[in-house]
Amino acid sequence: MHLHTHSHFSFMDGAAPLDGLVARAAELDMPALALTDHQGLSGVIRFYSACRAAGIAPIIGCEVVVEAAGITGEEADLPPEARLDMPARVGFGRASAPGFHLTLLARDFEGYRNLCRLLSRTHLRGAEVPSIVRLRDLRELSGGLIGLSGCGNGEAPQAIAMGHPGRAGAALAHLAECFEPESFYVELVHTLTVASPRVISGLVRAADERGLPVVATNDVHYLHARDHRLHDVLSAAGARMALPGPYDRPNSELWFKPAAAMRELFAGLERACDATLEIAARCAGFELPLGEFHFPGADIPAGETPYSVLAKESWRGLERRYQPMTPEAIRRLQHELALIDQMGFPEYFLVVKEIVDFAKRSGIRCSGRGSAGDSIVSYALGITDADPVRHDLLFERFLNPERRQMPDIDVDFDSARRDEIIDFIYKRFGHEHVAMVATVNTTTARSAVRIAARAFGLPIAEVNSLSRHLPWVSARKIREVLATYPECRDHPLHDPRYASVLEIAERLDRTPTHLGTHLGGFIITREPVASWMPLQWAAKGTVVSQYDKDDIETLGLVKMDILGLRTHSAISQAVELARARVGESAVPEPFDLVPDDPRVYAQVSSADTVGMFQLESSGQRNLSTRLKPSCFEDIIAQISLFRPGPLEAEMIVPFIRRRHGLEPVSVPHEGMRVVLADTYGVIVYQEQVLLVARAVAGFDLAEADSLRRAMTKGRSREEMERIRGHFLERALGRGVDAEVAVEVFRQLEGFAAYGFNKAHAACFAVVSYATAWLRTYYPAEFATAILNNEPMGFYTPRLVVNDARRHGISILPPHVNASDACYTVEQEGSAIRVGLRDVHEMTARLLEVLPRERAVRPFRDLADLLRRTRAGVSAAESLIRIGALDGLGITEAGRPPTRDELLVLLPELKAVLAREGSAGDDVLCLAPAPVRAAEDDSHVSGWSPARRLSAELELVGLSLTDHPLALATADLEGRGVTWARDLHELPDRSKVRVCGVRERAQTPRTRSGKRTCFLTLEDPTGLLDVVVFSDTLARCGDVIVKHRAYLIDGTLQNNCERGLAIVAGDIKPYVVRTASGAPVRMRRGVPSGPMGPSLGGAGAPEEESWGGAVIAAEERAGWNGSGP
Amino acid sequence: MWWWNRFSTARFRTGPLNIRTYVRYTQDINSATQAVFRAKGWVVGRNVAIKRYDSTPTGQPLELFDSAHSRRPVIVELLRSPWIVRASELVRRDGGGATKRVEEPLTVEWDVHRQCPVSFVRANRRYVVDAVVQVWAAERRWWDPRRQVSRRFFRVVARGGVYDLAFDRAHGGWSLTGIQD
Repeated sequence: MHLHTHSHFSFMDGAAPLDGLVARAAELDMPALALTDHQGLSGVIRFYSACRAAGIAPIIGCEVVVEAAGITGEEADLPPEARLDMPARVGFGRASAPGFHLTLLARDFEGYRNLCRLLSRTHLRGAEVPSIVRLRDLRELSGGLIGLSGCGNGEAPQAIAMGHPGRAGAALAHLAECFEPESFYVELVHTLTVASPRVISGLVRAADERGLPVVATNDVHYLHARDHRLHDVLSAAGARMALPGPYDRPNSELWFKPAAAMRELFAGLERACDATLEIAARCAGFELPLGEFHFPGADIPAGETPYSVLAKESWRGLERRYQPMTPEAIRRLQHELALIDQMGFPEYFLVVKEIVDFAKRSGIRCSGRGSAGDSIVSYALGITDADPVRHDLLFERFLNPERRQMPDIDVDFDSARRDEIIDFIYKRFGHEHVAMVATVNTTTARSAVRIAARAFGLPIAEVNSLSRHLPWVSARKIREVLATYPECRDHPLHDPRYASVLEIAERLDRTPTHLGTHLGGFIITREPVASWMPLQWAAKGTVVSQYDKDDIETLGLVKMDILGLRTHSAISQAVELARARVGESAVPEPFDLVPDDPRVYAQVSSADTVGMFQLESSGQRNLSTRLKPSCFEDIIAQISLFRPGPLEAEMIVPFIRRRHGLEPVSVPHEGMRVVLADTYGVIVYQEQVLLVARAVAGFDLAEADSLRRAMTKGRSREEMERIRGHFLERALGRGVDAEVAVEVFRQLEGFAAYGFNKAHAACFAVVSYATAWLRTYYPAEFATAILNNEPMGFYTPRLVVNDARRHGISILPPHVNASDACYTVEQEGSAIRVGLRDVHEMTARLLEVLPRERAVRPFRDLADLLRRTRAGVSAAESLIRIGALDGLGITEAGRPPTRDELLVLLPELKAVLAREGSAGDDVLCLAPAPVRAAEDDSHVSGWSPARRLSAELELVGLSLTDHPLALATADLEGRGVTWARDLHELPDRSKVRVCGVRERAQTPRTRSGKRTCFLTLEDPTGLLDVVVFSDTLARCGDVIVKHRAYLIDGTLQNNCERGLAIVAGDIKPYVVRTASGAPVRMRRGVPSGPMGPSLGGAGAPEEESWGGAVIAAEERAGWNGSGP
Repeated sequence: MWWWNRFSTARFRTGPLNIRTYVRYTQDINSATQAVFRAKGWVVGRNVAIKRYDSTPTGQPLELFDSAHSRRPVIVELLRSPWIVRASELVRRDGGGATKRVEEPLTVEWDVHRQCPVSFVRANRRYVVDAVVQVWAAERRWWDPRRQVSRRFFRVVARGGVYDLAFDRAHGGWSLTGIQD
C-alpha cells in the first residue's frame, strides 16, 4: 500500500484523480491508502469519504517543505562544495516554497489537528515568507503525527546523492528528534534511476546506524505510467516553464504500483515494505468526527439558553411583522421553534441574526434568500422579507426533521458596504475563528488548452489564439466543439501541428489547478479555525481555508455566505439620489412598499424592464409580455418559471395557456386544485410537490420533502419504483382511485426535479418589485445608480444609457466643468451626466484633483486645466476627444477651439508647462500647426456625429450622441428594415428584416439537445429578441461570433403563447460607415483608467473577437448585408 | 557460507535487481566476512577480484574473466559497490575513460518469466548474461519525436565485462549502449 501519494490536489504537481486513486487501491486490494499532497490538505475530506465508501482505511497526510535539519544555519552559509541542490518550489500560490521535503501522516484525530495547525502556522507566518516548516514548530506540533524522511527531494536522500552521508545522518537524527519515539521512518523511494540503489543503500545504512526504521514508498504522482506526460505538462505549466519543467524527471516510474511490483523493487529489504502495513495499522484508529455540527458561540446572556434567546427574539419579531398577529403565524412559529430546538440549531439562527442586525443598524441594505425564506423564524428575526404564511412557504422544505443537515441561510448585502459586514464578523468572532472558504478551480477547455500550449513552449500570442474563441465547455468536449460549432470552423486547433496540445488538453479535463477564494463564504468556528483545517494566504491578502464549501459542510462547520449584491447598492444609491432631489420624506423605503402599484405592473408587463432585478433578461422580457403580471404572486411565478428546470420541463406554455383561458385548468385529483390554484394546476414550485403529496397520499410535510429529494437527486430506476410503490400504497389507502394516484405520481415525477424553490423566488421578488418601482418613478436616478454600480445585471452600460435615452432622459457627455467621477443626475431628473471615471487614461489622482480645482473656480480652457491639474498628455487627449473640454476657451476666430485644434495645441502647451512651469494667458499666442477643417460647424466640437460616436465608444464604451445604427437610418430603411418599436404591430408569422447591434448571445441547454442561440440585439428604437435555431446557427454561427451588427431576415413570432421574437432565417453582417467610408466603431477599444470598473463594466474593453482580421475582411468584401 | 550461496549464478539470474545484495554486503563486509576471507588466504578489501588478477606485463588473456566462476567475484564487487555510475557516464569527452559508449543494435534473448535478458549476440558471438546488476529507466523529451528517449536499461555482467543493454520502448529494439571492461 502506498504511503506517499499525490493527487490532483497537489495543484499542478499531481496527475492522479482522487477517485481514480481510491478505485485503483480498492482494485489492488490495498487495505489502506495515504494522501500526501504538497503543502496542504485540500483533497483530504473527499478522499476520506471516498476511502470509507470503498472500504479502504484512509490515512491523511501531507508532504511539506521543511527547513534544513542536517546543518546549523543556512544552506548559503556552507562552502559551495558542501551545499545541496535546493529542490524546486512545490505547492501553489502563497503556500508554495522551495526546499527539502518531509512527509507527515496523521496517526489519529489529534495528529490531524496538529497537522492543520502546523500547516496554518507555516503558511500564515507572513504573506511574503516562504511556507517552510520550522523544526521548532514541528517539534511542538508533532503529537499524533508520523514522519517519513521525504522523497528524493528530502534532505537525507539529497545529501547521500551528492556524497555527504554525514549530513544525511545528521538530518535524519534531527528530524527523528522532532517526533514522538518510534514515529519517524526513513523513506526509501526506488524510482529506477541510476542513482536509486546508491541512495537507498546509503539511507538504509544511515537508518540502521541510528536505529531508525525504513519504509518503502513510490512518491506516486499519477495512476499509470502512461500518465507521466500529464504530470510533466502540469508541473511545467505550474512553474510557468516549458517542458521538461522544473523537475526534469528522468523517467515515468512515479505511478501507482501494485504491492508485488513494490516488493520486487525492494527485494531483499522486505522490512521496508512491511513497514507500510505497520504504519497503516498505527493509523487505523483515525476517524474524522463527521455527522456532528459545530456552531460558533452566539451571544447568550447569563441564565439564558440559545433556545430561550431565539424564542424571545422570534416572538418579538412576529409581533412586529404581523399586525394583527394571526393564529396561523403563531401556530407556525411554535412549530418551527420546537423543530429548531429539537435539531439543535438555535445558535445558528442567532449568529445569522447578529450579523443581519448589525447590517440593519448600520444602514446596510441586505436581504435573505434561498430556502431560508420558507421559515417564519427567519422572517420574524428580520433575516428574510417574504411572508411565509402569505405565500404558502413550507418550513420542511428548509429544514427537514427527517434529515438532520446543516441549515444554510444566504444573505445578500449591499455590495458597496460588504467590507463593513466582514469587519464586523472578524471583530465579533475573532480573527482566529473566521476564515474565508476556498473554491477549487478546475480546468475548462480554454484553460486546459492554455496549460498544454504553454508547457509545449508555444509563444504567448499563439497560446492566446489557441485558447480564445473556444466556448465555455469542458475540456473533454474540445474535439466535439471543434467539429460541430460553427464559430469554431476556422479555429487554429484544427491544425495537425497542435494534435499533441489537443490530446493533452482533453486529458486535463476538470483537473484542479489552484485554490481560489469563495466570493462570500466565511467559516465561523468556536475553536480556532486552524484546528479544523489548514489556512493560507489568498492572492488578495485574506486568510483562506484549504477546504471548499462541501468539505466544510462535511465537517459540520458553519459557513456563512456574505454575498455582495450590486442591486442593493444600486437601490440604496437610487433612493439617495431621489431623496436628494425630491426630499427625504417623499421617497419611501422600497423594501417596505405594499406591492400593489398598477403602474409598476404595467411597466413590467410591457417588457420595459432594463435594470429590474431578475426581470430584465431577454427571456424574462419575453415572459413578461406573455404573462402580463398584475400582482406580487405573478412576479414570484415569473421569476420561478424562467429557470432551467421549468424551461426544460416546458412548464411555461401550459401555465400561460391556462392563465389566459386558452386551455382549462385540469388536475387529476381534487386535492390538487386547491394547492395548485395559484399556478393554474401546474406544479411550478418545490413546495407544491410537498403539498400535493400531502393532499393526495397523506404524507406529512417532512415525509413529503424526503420524497421530493429522493425524486430529485440521482434517482435510480429501482429507487424510483420503490418510491412509486410507497406513494401509491399511501394514496390507495386513502381511497384515491388507482388511475388518479398513478397520474398524480407521474406529474410529481415529471416536475419534482424541475420545480423551483418558491421561498427563493419570493425573496427575490421583494427586490425585483423594489427595482421595478424605482424604475417606474425615478428612472434617471435608477439608471444612474445602475451605471455607478456596474458591472451588474444582464446588459452592458451602453444599453442602459441607450435605454435611458429612449425614455426621454438626456445623456450629457462628460465635461471637466460638470462631471464628477461617477454618473450624476441633472436637470431635475431629466438628464444623466456621464462621470469621468470611465474615461480612458483617467487616473485616481486626476479624479481627485478635478472636482477639487473646479470647486475653486471652473476651468477656463485647456491651458488652465493642464496648469491646475497637471494632467498627463494621454489623459488630456482622452478628455479632449470625448468632448470634456468642448466649449472651453476662445480662439482668434472668436469661437471655442474645435477638438482638432485642442489636440494640436496639447503637446505645445505641455511643452511650455514643462519648460516654464506654467502656461498662462499667452497660450493663445501660440501658433499651432494648421488643423483640418471642421466637419460639422453646427457642433462646438467641429466633429461629425460619426466621429464623435466612434470616440465615445472607444473611450468610454458608450454611445452618448446616439445609437450607432441611427447614423445609417436612411440606408437601413432603404433596405426594408423594420424597427424594434414597430414589431409588435405586425401580425404573427410576418416576414421581417431587422438590424441590430449584438448585446447578448446565449446558447442555453435545450430539452432536445440541439443548439439554439438566443440573440439580444439593439436598434435605435429598442431591443430585438432573435431565436437562431440549429440549422441557421450552423450556417451563420460564425457571423454571430465574428461581427457585432447584423441584418437578419426572419419570421416574426407575435402571439400571446410564445411572445414577441424573430426566428432568424438568414444573418448577414452589417457595418455602419461614415461619409468617408470608414467603419464606425461598435465596441469599446481601450480600457478605462484605474478607477474604472472591473472587467465587464463600462471601463473594460470588449474582446475584439478576431476583430482585426474581421474588420479587414469586412472592408475587403465591402459587406453591408448585400455582400459580394 | 550463507552469503555465498545467495550469490550463486542461479540466484543472480532470478531478478533484475537485488537490493538486499547491496544492503547486506555494505553492512557486513567489514566485519565477520573479512575474517573468513583472510582465513582462506584470499585477498580482501575493495576491488578484490581485480587485485587478485596478475597484472604482470607477461601477457593477459583476451578476456579477463573467461568463465562464470571467474566472473563471480566481479559480480560480487559490483553488487557491493552501488555507487558505480553508469558505464556510459564514464566516457570522457576526449574519448578516453574506463568505458566505451557505443550504440550498437543487438539481438537479445529475453526471459519473459524473469523479465530480464538471458543472453545477447554481438559480433556473431553469443554472450550469456551471468547477472543483471542494475536496471534503470529513462523517459525523456517525449514531446519531441526526434529527440525522444524511452528506454529501459539493463547493466549485465557477461563474458568480457559489464555491458549496458537498452531496450527502446518506443521502437521495440535492443541496443548495446556501454561496455566496461
